[in-house]
Amino acid sequence: MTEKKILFDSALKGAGIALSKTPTEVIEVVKNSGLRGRGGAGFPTGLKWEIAAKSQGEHYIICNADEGEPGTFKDRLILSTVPLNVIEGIIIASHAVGAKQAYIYLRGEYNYFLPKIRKAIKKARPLMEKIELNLDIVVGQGAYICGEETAILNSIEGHRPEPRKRPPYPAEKGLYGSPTVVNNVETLAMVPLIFLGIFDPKKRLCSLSGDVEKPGVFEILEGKQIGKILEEAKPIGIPKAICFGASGGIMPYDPCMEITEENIKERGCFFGSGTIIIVNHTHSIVELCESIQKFFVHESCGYCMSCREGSKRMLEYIKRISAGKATMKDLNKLEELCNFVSVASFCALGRSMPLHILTALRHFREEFVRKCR
Amino acid sequence: MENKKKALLLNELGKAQKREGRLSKKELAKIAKKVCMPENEVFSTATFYSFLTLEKRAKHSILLCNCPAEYLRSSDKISKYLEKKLKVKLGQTTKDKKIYLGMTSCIGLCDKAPALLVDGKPVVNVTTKKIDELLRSLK
Amino acid sequence: MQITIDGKILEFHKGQTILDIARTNKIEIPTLCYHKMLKPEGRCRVCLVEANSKIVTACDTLAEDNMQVVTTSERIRRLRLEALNLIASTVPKETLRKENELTKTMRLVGFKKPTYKHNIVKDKDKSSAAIWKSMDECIVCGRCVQACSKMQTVNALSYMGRGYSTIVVGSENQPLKDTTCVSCGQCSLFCPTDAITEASDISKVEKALRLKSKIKVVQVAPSVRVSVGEFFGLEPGTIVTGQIVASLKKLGFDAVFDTNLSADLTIVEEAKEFVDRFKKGNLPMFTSCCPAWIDFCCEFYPEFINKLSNTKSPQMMLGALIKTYYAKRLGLKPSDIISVSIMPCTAKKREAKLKNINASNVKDIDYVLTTRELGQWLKSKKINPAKLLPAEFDCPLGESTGGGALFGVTGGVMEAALRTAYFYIKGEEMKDPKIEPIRGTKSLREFEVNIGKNKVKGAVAHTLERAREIIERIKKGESFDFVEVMACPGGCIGGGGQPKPVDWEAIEKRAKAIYSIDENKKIRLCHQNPDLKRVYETFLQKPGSKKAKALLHRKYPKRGKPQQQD
Repeated sequence: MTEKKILFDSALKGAGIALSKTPTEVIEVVKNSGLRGRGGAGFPTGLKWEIAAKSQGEHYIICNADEGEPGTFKDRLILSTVPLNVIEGIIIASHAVGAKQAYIYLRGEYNYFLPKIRKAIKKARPLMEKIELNLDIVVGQGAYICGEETAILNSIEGHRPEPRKRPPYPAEKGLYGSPTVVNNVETLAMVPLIFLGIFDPKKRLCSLSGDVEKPGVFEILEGKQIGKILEEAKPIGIPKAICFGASGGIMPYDPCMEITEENIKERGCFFGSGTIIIVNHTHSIVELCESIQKFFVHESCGYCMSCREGSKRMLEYIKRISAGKATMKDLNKLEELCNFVSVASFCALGRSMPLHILTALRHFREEFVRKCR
Repeated sequence: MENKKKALLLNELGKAQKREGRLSKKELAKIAKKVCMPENEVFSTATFYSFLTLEKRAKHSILLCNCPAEYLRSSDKISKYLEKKLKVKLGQTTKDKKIYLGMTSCIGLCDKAPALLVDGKPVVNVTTKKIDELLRSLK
Repeated sequence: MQITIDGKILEFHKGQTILDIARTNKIEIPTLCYHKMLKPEGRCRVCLVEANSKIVTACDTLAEDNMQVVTTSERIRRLRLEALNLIASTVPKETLRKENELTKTMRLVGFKKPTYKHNIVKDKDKSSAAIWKSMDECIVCGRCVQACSKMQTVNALSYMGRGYSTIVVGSENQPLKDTTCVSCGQCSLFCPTDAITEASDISKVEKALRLKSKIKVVQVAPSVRVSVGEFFGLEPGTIVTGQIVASLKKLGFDAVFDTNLSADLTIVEEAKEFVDRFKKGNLPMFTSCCPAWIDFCCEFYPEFINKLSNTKSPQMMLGALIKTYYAKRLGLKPSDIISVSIMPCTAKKREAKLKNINASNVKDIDYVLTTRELGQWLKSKKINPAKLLPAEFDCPLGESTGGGALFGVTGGVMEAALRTAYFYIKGEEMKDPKIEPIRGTKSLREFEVNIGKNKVKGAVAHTLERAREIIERIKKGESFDFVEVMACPGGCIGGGGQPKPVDWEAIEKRAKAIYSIDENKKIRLCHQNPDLKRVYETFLQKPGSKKAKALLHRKYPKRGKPQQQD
């Protein structure tokens, strides 16, 4: 597989500049850059580092390379084209918060990147030695929940990767109870660019797939119209809906909609990790929801009852609706169940699980009603 | 120091799974000792992950991606074709114990859908023709 | 700091959860997986409240200054109903008809009947002599796993799998009997749905009672008399000794004996052993009356097995006397007697089935029932002990002293043993038998007691987490003379076979009752027990005699838990 490079290759230059600054200066630079987490929650990266730096104890950096959100593959592209940028990001973060140990948590599905990443680490070794940083790779073994920033801690510690109660946040009490920065691959890959002066917070990577001829990773400027992007990606059939991954919700396709967090939020959805799946007129939204819900049933960790039992019951309802065996009463009950799971679940995975159904019911209700008796 | 050992657990489990095709009791005990954790917890952790198994599944594994983007690109056709060809259902192993056909959560290849992970390596833009070739190579 | 709950302004201090504050102020928030004696895990999602307009679980959400909390809105009510709907669907209908913590919470929330179809989980484990496990009734609340791995550090239970197929199994998916399980039964005590229970013997005992040719004898452990009343609406700590005797007679037993007597006997023998070892060495000596602790020591610390006292537990001592001394007095063979015991404990079930534990040529104890089983049994027979006239324990094994009574509570064995050791060493009686520093509820207590010129350094631990702690300290070089361990919180009064649900207040009330039994006894020193004096004069000769050693002492395996007879 050859992948086109869409990120600037920093070639250790960014880290070189950063290491010549004091940790406080580095944090200040990152804070001022406007960089926010690209894994989903969008927390200001510099602030996260600052909180961790100020917390007592040994410090850890974790690079979250457990890109599991369906329809998301931008981190894969980064790891395969500019893995060194990510290592640089880790080095800079370690320098900023004073970490001597860092982990790359690589999802098992990306196991085949190991040689590439190891090679990049080797290249960066002199810089790592300079700040006495030890970097290990932990390879995941197939669990979506490990992308959650507290579950990843339990996973590295060898426990069942169930989420932890927040607060305390990992930046205060993370790995082994010590302050830990958990940053996504894309976030860390951006960090060296800040020090090279070529980082633009308005630009972000977006994984585009679904009913298009040319799926792939696009760098999009905030505010760009979705229709313009699709001109490049060339839709197959007539685009009907946009699905923002499994946990980002589904909304009607509107070529004029400018891509901003706010615009997407207004429609009940969540841009999170920058995932866009185009759905065309030939597909049923109910069936799409069924496929997404199957994913969640497979990936619910089972820690809290709401997600464990809720995911299963939601799938039962959708299957019944999809098979034309449900009544309107069932549909209402499904909606009530979704509302329950979205507020009552323990972690973010559970709480965002019903979003695809809730947004589908908001925007495409008639498709569900048509299938109900 | 002990903490660093624990962080090895997942890698150790993954390596053992790859080597033996499963995690035997003996192997789990060995790993538990190595990482200084109770065997019981190592077991419990291992049963959580979908790549780790206690029983040997098959020589080869073909994993289908269960993500909606794949669904949109007719991954169901591919899975049905595989089921027909291998004469098994998803989640089962062929009679000759050669191939396990399973489902995994998104493998991050939605831009090259439909895609498969065959023995951990990606096979992209899959067509029925490609599957025929693939199955021949796995025999 | 202040918080507003349902319009009431309440003071709180840092570290308190919303639930803590609500409970101290008598504001009812229904809970299910939460248990005051365990760390909140927030699994069941029943205790939902609105805090600053956000839905949170009250059990694990720390209160913040000026937080606005609503616990009773319509939205909250509906959410809790949905939570219970999901939970109740995971158990069979019969479980929902029984009295348990799940149905209690259902009543509190006003939930009637689940709307989802129940998916059957076929996983039953009856391999253990003490504990039965049926996962169809399990709601994965996590209490048993936490009690087993954290409170007891035994790690016999674990989760297997993930998502909706997550299930609680014996460690590494083995039958319980093959795990490190020490049979303490705390898992069953904390289980809110009876997915884990004691291995029930009620029907076997009922059958045995119908055997006309046999003499049916039963004994009652010290802590049962202060807890079984709770099944019949009495306050925890209500002493119903005579009523239990009367009810057991009503159930059909020919003679009711008192385990307090054999607790006295245990002290007489154990204090003798301690004094010998105190003079000759091989210290510390660990108490041996708690079978879960014995299993724990043998399983996890085989190098400490020779530190265990070799005196049998009161249950087995009375069993031995019943099938030898008592049988002889009646001119019967041991096999003519059916010997049953009522214990606060699930581990006693296994103890009675051990190899090499019997003094007679048959089983010294045929069946063991827990306090809970006795409660169930009496209820099913519509016998209410509270309404019966008290009766006396039977001769010749019915008299007991205050010291024996203390076996029910943490520190009790130590206190009683030191009273008698004092007599053995100094040749005179203690002036005040109350030894204050041994008492209390702290899970690890250390003390020094002067006996003449001798200083005895002792420690008392309850819960096996603390037992592990004290052993680890000894391994690191600390020295003690005498260590008491009880596996269950509070000692036998918090035993794995006691009434459910358990809580600290109940345990403390039961402890008070035990101490009051001791104080109200004319004789408080075990070695002064008149019935026992007779046993020694006519049968055992003297403490530590060859006969006493043969009947009342035991041997342990070199490593690993003592084995069961089949």
